[in-house]
Amino acid sequence: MVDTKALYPIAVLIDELKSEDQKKRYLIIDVMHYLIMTLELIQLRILARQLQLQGKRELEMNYFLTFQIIDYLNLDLMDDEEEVLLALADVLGNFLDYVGGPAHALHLVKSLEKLCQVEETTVRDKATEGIKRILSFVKIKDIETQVVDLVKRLMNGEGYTAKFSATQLIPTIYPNVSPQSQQDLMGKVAAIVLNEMIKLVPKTPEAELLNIFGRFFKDEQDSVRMQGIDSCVVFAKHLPVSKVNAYLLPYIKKFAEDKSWRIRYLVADRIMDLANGIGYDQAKEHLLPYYQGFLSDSESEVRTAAVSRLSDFCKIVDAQSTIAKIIPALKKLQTDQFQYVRSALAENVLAICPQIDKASTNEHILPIFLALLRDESSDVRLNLFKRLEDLNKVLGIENLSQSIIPALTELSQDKNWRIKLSVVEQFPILAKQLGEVFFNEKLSPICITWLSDNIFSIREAALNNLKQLTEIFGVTWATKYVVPQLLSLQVNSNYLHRLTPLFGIAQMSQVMPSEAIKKLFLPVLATLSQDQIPNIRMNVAKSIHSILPYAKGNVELEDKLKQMLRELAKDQDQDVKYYSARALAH
Amino acid sequence: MASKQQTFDINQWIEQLKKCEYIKESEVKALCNRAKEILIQESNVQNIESPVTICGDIHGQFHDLIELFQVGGECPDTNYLFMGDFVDRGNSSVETFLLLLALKVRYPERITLIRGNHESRQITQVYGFYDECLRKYGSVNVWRYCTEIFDYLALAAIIDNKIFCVHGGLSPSIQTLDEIRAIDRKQEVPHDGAMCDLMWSDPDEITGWSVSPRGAGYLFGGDIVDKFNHQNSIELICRAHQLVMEGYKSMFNDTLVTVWSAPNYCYRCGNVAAILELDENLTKFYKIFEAAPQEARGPTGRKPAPDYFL
Repeated sequence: MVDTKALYPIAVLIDELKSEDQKKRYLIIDVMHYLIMTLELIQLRILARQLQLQGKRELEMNYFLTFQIIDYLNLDLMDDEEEVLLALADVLGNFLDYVGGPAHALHLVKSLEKLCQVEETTVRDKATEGIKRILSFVKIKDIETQVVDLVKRLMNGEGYTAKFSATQLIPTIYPNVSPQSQQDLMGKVAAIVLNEMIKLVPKTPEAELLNIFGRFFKDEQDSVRMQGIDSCVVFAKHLPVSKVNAYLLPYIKKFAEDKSWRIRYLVADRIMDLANGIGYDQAKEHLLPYYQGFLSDSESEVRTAAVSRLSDFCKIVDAQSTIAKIIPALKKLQTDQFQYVRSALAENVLAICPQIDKASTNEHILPIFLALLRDESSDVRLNLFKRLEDLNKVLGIENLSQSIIPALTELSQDKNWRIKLSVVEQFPILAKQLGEVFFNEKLSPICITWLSDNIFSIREAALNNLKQLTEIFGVTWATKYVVPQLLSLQVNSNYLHRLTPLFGIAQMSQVMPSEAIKKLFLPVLATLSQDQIPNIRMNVAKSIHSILPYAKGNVELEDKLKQMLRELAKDQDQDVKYYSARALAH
Repeated sequence: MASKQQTFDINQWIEQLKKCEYIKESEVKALCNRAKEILIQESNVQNIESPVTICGDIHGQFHDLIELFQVGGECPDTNYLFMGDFVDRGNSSVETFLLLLALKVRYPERITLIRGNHESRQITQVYGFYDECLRKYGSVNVWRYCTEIFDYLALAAIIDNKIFCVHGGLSPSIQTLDEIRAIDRKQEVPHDGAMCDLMWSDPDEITGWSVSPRGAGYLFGGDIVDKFNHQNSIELICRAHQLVMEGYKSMFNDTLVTVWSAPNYCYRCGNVAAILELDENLTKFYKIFEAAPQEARGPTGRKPAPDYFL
C-alpha cells in the first residue's frame, strides 16, 4: 500500500481539477509538465524509499500516477470549456516522455481520440496534431491494428467531427501499414486530405488518387470543388507533365469555366502553378483563352486575381499574343468601376513593358500609364510608382518626367498621411532609377518639404530617406543639397520642428565622416543644448548617445560631445538628466 | 515572503504595452502603487507649461492611440495632456489605460492625465472596462487597482495660466479655479456637485445654464464661458467629452474648443479624430487623423467584442 501522505500532492491536483473556477483548472493543466517533473524528483524518491523500490520500478510508479491523472482527465474534463480542452490536447500531445515513451503511446492516443470528436475545431486540430506527433515517435507497424481501428472507429463515429479528424490522420498512417490496411484507409480518403496523400506519391497509388479526385469534382459544393483546384496544383507538382496533361487538363478547363466565380477566381489565382504543371506550350495554347476571359470576367475578384498574375503570365506567352489578346482587356480595366481592380492593374501593368518592344510600350502601355496617373484614387496612382523602373527602362526618364512630376507632387501632399508615407518610402527607389541630376532638379525640393511636415511619421520617414539618399548619392551631395536645410530647422519656433534636426543628426552621423559631424553637427548640438524646452535638451543627449560610436577615434569630437553631456547631466529636468547620464555611462 | 521581490521594470512594461500585450496582474499592482505616489502630489488643477499636445477621449481604442502617437510624435519627445475617458467602449481599455499610466510613471513631467466621466467605478461596470478586466485577467483585481487610481487623477489642468483644460466643462457651483483646487477629489465621481459637473457638462448655444440631457452635469452658454474666462484670466477652455465628426470644434468666438481623439468612434461612427498641438508660444496646430488601418491592428482576437455599443 502506498503511503497516503505521499499521494497528497496528487489529491491536491485532482481537487484543483475539480474546482469550480475555470481559470484554476486551466492553470493546473498548464503546469502539469512541471507537476509531473516535481513528482519524479521529490515525491517518487520518498515513495521509492518507503516501498524499497529502485530504478525502473520507481519510474513505473511515476507513470502509474500519470496515468491516474490522465484517466481522471478523460472521465471528468470532457464537457469542459474550449480553452481547457485546448490546453489538455496540447499537453497530451507532448506527454510521451512522461508516460514512459513509445511503449505507452496508445494510452495517450486513447485520450486524444476523445478530443478528436469534440465540436470545437481548434481542439480537434490540436488533438489530431497531438496524435500525429505521438505516432511520429513510434513504429506504426507495431500497433497497426490499433491505429487502423482508431481511424475506423472515428470514421463510424457520430456526426461529421470525428470523420473529419479520422481523415486527417490517414496521410500519417498510410505509408507505414500493410497493403491490406492501406486499401482500407484509401477507401476513406476525403477531399481535405487528398492533397496530403498526393504529396506521398509514389508511396500512394496515383491512379486511385486520380479516381478519388474525379469523384470529388462532381460534388455540388463549391468548397469541395475549390479543394479540387488545390489538388490539381499538387498533382501538377508531383506528376510528370505528360500525365498532368492527359488526366488533369480536362478538369482544369472545366474549373476555368465553372459557374461559381470562386472557382474561377482560384484558377486565375493559381494560373502559374497550373501552367507550370501542364508545361508552358500547353499553357499558351489552352490557358491563354481562359486568362483572357478572366481579365474581363463579370466578377471583380476574378479580374483582380488575373491582373495580379499579369507579369508572370505574359512571360510564358509571346509578345504578339500579349499585344493582341491581353492588352485589349487591360485597356478596359483602366476604367474599371472598382478601385481595387485598378490598383492591381497599376501595380502590374508596367511589368510587361520589358516583354514587348519600345514602340508597343509607347503605343499601348504609356496611354494606360497616363490614364492611371490621373486616377481619382491616390492608391492607384501610388501603385504605378512601384514598378516605374520597368517603364523607365524601356522609354527613358526624359519621356516620362513631364507626366510623372505633377502626379508625384500631388501624391506627396495627399491628405491621408499613410498615402504620403508610401510616397516618401518610394523616393530612395526612385532616386536610384532616375539618377542624381534629375533627382536634384525635381525631387529634392519635395524631400525637403517633408522634413517640416505636420505629421510626425512623415518627418521620421523623410529623415530615414535622407540617410538612404546619402548612401546613394554620397556625402558631398548630402552636404550640398540636404544637410543645410535640415539644420536650418534648429531655429524653428515650434519645438517639434526643432527636434527634427536632432533626430536627423543621429541618423546622418551613421553615414557621414566624423570630421563632417564635428564641422556641421556639433555647433547645432551646442546651440540646442541651451534650448528653453527640456524636450530639446533631452534629445540633444539622446542624439549624442547615438553619435558617440561614430565619433570614436576623433578625440576632439568625442571630448566635446562628452563635455556637452556633462553639462546636460546637471540639468534641472529629470529626463534631461537621465538621458545625459545614460549616454555618459555608455 | 521576503524573497518574493517585485521587480519594477517600467521600460519593459512600456515596450510590452505598446505592442498591445497586457502585463501581469502583480505588475499592474506595482505600477498602480507607483502611479499613486506621483498622482497624489498633483494639484486638482495641475499646472502645465507649454509646449504640450492636448488629446481628447480615447475610449480603449488602443491602435488608434498608437496612430495618435505616430501623428503627434512619441512620448517623451512630445509632451502630452490627455483629458480623460481612456477606458470603456473600445476593445482594449486595459492596454490603453495601462500604457498611458506607465508613461506617466516613467515620464511624469512629459505627460499629464486628467479624469473623465468614464474613470469611475459605476460607469466602467456598464460600458466595458470591468468586463474586459475580468475577461483578460480572470478576476476583477486589475479593475480594482485601476479604479482606485482613477480617484487620484487630477480634475483639470491649466497651461501657462492661460488655457484651462477639463474633460466636460464648467459647473454652476464654481466661479474660480481656487474653488476647484479646494475640492477633495479622492473619491468616486459623485452624482452631482462641482466635481461631477467638471466631468459631465457640455457647452451649448444657449444663454446661462440649462439641464443636461445626459442626466448629470449642465449645459452652459457662451456668456458663462466669457465670465469664467474673464474672472480667471483665461484665454481658452479646452475640453473633450463630446463626439465631433471633424475631430475638433471651436465655439463662442474661439473661447472654447472641443477636442475628440477617438477616430471612427466605437469602430463605426465614421468620424475623424484630432489632437491640438500647442507650441511654446501657445500657437495652435490641429492635427487630424483617421482610424488605424486594418493591417496596423494586428491579428484580431478570436473572441468577438462584447456588445457595449449603444
